[in-house]
Amino acid sequence: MDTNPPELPFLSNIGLMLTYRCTVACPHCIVEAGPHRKEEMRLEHSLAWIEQASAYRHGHIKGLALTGGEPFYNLENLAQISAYGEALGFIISVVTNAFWASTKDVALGVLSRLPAIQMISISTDVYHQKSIPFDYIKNAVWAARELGRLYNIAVCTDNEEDRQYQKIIEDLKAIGEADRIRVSIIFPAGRAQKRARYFNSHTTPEPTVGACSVASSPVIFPDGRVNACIGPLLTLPPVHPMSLGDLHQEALSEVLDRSELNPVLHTIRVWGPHKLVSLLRQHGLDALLPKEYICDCPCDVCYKLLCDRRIVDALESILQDKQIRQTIAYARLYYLNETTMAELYHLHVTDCPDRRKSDSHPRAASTAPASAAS
Amino acid sequence: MEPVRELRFTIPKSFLEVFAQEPRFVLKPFPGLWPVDIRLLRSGLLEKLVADEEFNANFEIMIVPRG
Repeated sequence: MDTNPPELPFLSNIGLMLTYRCTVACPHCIVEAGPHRKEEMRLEHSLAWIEQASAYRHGHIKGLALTGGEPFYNLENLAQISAYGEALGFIISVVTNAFWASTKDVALGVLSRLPAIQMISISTDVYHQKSIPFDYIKNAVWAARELGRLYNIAVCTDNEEDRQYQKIIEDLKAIGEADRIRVSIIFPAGRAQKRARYFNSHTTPEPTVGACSVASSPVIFPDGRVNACIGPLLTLPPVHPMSLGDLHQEALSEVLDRSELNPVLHTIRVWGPHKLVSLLRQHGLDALLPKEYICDCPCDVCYKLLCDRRIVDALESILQDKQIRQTIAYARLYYLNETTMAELYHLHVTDCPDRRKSDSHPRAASTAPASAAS
Repeated sequence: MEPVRELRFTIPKSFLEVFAQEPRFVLKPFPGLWPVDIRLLRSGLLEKLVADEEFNANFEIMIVPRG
């Protein structure tokens, strides 16, 4: 039986990181958001990039995830951006800390102004609750329910044994939200790196094993950079392989097409960042590897590998190998039923649907034009 | 509208043997900054459709394996 969680198809969802501004400056925030930050995505850029996303491969991108910072900080922009996205056919989701849900009526009023938003992820944890009381979360949940919006509650912790964390989980369960809780582990990047001594993470010498589905959903930042995911790599200068491009330099379609052939990205998607560790070990590069990783935190593995220029150079060299690249292409075909990489490497044998070989594993698919081949 | 193209790929036996012995394990998605949860979406949309009398009078939902 397949116990894997369902995954979003590659590039079927894209994120807009609308702002670094936030009502609170939590110590665990990887993007170092806060009231002091000024960087916001310009409205005209947001709309232009959403339009490009809509046109990509004739509507391949289905989901538009709005994040920050705190997207509700600029409610007028959020309303315009979400409405434009919905008009172009996107499913709109948003992340928020619910600072706006001071009462039930206010929460209902705010969400009513955002009819295009279909899903809301409400963040609450020990750090958020220093500024945003639990009642605000309850009000936001109530308003989402009243308006028929989908929602989940994201809780971050450095240690699942922490008493305060456990209290939050109990409180959420007490209001009937057990099924909506999504827990994640704090990793030391951004502000969390500067305050790492305050966290009490468990570590292990072996990396977390498992494929990362979040790397299927790239994110656009206010300055036009595109990252393969919303993880801690976003805090690094854009010279690592998960930095996909810059929309002030090229079109979104060029950036996304090129990502189809990114061997680091697809190794992480197919197997997980631990596979990169295995590759480095196979090539005798153990000395470069981190000595420990945070337990159950794949982002930590990715970050620790790709923040080291020597490791990035070594991986780029290893992944030049044609056989490894073909392995990744076949693995995408086998595990994910994704044909584009195999097609771009000219691994297809025929366009005849009836041809089969007894020792082979044929896969057929309708594909979009392979513009990344150029 | 783009014409549908059908391509056929053959994964060599040597790769198949390796992949068959390496079941893929997917980590739970990191939720904090990433709200899209297709389980939530799917269940919500299906529930909405099932509850819609007009929809039910005119359509039915069939879940079939991918081709």
